[in-house]
Amino acid sequence: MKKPSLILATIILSSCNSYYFPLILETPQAIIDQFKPYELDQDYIEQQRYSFISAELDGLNATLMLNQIDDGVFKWVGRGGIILRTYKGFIIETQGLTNNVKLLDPKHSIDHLQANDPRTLIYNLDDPMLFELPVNIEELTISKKHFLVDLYAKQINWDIKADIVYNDKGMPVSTAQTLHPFLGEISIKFYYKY
Amino acid sequence: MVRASVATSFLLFFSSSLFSQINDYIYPNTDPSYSNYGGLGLIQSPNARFFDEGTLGFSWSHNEPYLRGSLIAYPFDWFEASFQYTDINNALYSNSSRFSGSQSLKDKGFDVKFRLAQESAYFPQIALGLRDIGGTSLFGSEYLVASKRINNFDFTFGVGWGVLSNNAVKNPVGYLKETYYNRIERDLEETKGGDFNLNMLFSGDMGIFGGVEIFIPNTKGLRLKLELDATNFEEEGREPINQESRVNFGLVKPISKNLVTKLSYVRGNTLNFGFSYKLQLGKPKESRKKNDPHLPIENAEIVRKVTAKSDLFLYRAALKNLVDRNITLQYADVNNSELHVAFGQSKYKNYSLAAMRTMQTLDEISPESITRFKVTNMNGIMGMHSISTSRDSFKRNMSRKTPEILLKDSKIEGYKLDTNDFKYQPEALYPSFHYNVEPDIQSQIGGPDGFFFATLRLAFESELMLSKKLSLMTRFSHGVVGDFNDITLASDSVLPHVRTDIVKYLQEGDEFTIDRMQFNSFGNPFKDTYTKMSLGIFERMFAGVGGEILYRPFEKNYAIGFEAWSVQQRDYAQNLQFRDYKTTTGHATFYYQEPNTGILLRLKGGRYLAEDSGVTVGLSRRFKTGFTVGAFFSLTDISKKEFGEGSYDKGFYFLVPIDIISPSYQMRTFTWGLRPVTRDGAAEITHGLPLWGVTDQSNKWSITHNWG
Repeated sequence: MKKPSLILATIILSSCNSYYFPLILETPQAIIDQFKPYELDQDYIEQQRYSFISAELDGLNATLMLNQIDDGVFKWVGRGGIILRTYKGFIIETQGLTNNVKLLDPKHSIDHLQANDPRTLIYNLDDPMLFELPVNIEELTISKKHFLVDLYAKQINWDIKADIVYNDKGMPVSTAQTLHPFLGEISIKFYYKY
Repeated sequence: MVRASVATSFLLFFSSSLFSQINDYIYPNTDPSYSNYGGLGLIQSPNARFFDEGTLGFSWSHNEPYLRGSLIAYPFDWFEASFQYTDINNALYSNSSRFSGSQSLKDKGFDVKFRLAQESAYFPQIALGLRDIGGTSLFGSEYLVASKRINNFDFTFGVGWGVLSNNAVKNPVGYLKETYYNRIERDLEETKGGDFNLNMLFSGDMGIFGGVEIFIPNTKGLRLKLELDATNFEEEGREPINQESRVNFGLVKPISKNLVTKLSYVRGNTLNFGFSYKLQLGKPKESRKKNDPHLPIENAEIVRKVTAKSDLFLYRAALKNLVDRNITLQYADVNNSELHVAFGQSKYKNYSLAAMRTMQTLDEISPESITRFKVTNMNGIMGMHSISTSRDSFKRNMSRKTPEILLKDSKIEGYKLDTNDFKYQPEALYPSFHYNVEPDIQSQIGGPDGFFFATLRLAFESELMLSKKLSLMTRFSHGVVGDFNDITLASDSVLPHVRTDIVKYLQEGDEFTIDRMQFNSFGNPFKDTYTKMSLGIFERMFAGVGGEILYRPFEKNYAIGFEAWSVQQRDYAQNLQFRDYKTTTGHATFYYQEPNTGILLRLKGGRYLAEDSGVTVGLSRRFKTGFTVGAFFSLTDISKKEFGEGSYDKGFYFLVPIDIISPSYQMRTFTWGLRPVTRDGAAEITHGLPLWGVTDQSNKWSITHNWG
């Protein structure tokens, strides 16, 4: 039979701890800060000289600057080697994320989608690499200011959603899209400086 | 012919490679999962699987009549260690209702599992494990198990002893020694429930168990488990349990990469469920990404034009721009073309990163005439280390992201502060004061009065720097709400009650308490030698005076420390009154840091608080992230009977840098440790700012092992 026992659930094993001068105890506030919604203030937006996007993925936020426009494909570049390519607001390629995607023949595929003439889309995925994954259209909603598509890759049971909102000039202003089977949804706001 | 065979091999290789790639998407989560006993396994049975080293897991299962919570650590990818608490609701805590009321029995258990052979294409992974090896061994068993993955099936087959002896066959170990045919019972009176009884291992009948974990395609990790259970429910726990079937089955559903739920049907009559959570804390790339990049200097080109005019301007620019980036310039000097800056910081846990960020700022503000940087890390008045490198190498390797080349190009050395080395010495304003208010939870679990008692307190922590050499650390707290007054358990220790009066401290200290009020004076009289003198209230139970001296050569993997303390026991209310008990305690400590694995051996010998003498052996492993897992035990010149339950002092602990889970760089570390039983033997004084931690940056290994 066990004898009665006591446990100190928290023992500070100071002999194993590191401590530094000055004693600045900022952790609780820092942890609370993580839960604050990410909003770009108006000053920041106005100060930018070039078009940019703010992106949120799996709780992380990033700002990516417009680096190049090539035949309708926008290349957005961020810190740490992150690159997103969009065509009509649809993310067609990512680089520098933990898992990346590339839509093959993107312009042709998206133009057909937006013309309500859907074809099978073909994706390359990486980490792990998977080439030429066929993705079929499940649902498509198109209006002047809104494009909503629901895709499905049967082989790996992957649902892809892309919801893009356009302004009066037909430029994308915001989007929420599924990126990769191992990543969450990415939300993007577009800010133009021209 | 040869060409055809090469082509065939090539095609086979790529087709199998592509198959495995699509499988990674079809079966995105094939991590092993925990059994009802805490370690990785099937439903009841263990398997031969392990998580990667540096993983820390928690598992909870409800399997009538047991409710079990386990903490599972993987210091190596071949070693699993778990500690569990089991609530056994078909037995009472004791036969005396006056002692423990109607509380159900609680049992502590410690399990280990070792990988003996790694899985290969044709051979299974093999592991050897011991369950509930200390204490009362209500769930004590040993096993040898093999697991082999074939496509989406993970098969397990094993043999067990002790509680895992159902489906029995004759014990082959008995051929070697006949006494092994019968299970040897533990002598709890002799061991006081805290010893390992090696004679009983692998004795008695041998049981056979096995099963399979089937990963279901395209279900995001859902898997079905089927097993033949070898648990002997006549022997397990306190009372026999009815078993109607030896075949168990269940489902495991990952909610996320780390959170997993499970539901099983066991013994042919019981539905059980549970969940588990794990975190990989040892790999830097698994740490949370930081939203905390280096802030480039605005108008750097103009700044460089100004700093080119005079060294004073360069010093002032460095002072301001480093402070803006949470780095405090303490001394600076320009010697020919080398800029030398001594800095202190409390932001970066990674010392090389702190140095790189400092150099990056210096690079942006320095004129072209500066061709070398030397940055010296300080902790208080103690010089810790210096890193010097050519500016060219720094720029080249930062832009190419090749820190390993920068490491080779840099000179890293220990540093003893000599203020004559510096022309610029900004004046610090004293006294300076830093404080923080935070909630604090004190808890006590596993006693006869109830399983869990806790109090919420509000704590005020501060540090008053009176000069560069002298500081006062204080911590006051006040109870807000708690239930410690419901505890009636008194100490039964025959030794001076240096720790076992904890209940009195908890109860009488339920309002305002002075938790610490400690003056510290640090010194660095010789190169590699550090000193600390302290006076005041060190901890909840003791106050006094004493000091430490540590010899820690920068380039070496060993260190030697001495400490001595004259202390008096504090009153239970933890204000400024004292009890009569006074003593002198002190230790000599030898440290050895194994550089490749990060294992630290700590051998400590001396006199403890209860005036017993002996040694403490500690082993810990520190990963590149700073996550540390360790265990210790002490043997002193008191008998097991004098020590009481547990036989001797032992415990384990974790240090989790907040940095791992934070989106910004943090230096603070969350520390959690547990002694299965609090007794008076081998008790040590707990004083703030021990030299081993304070001088962590004064060792080359600490700087280079997570370089970059």
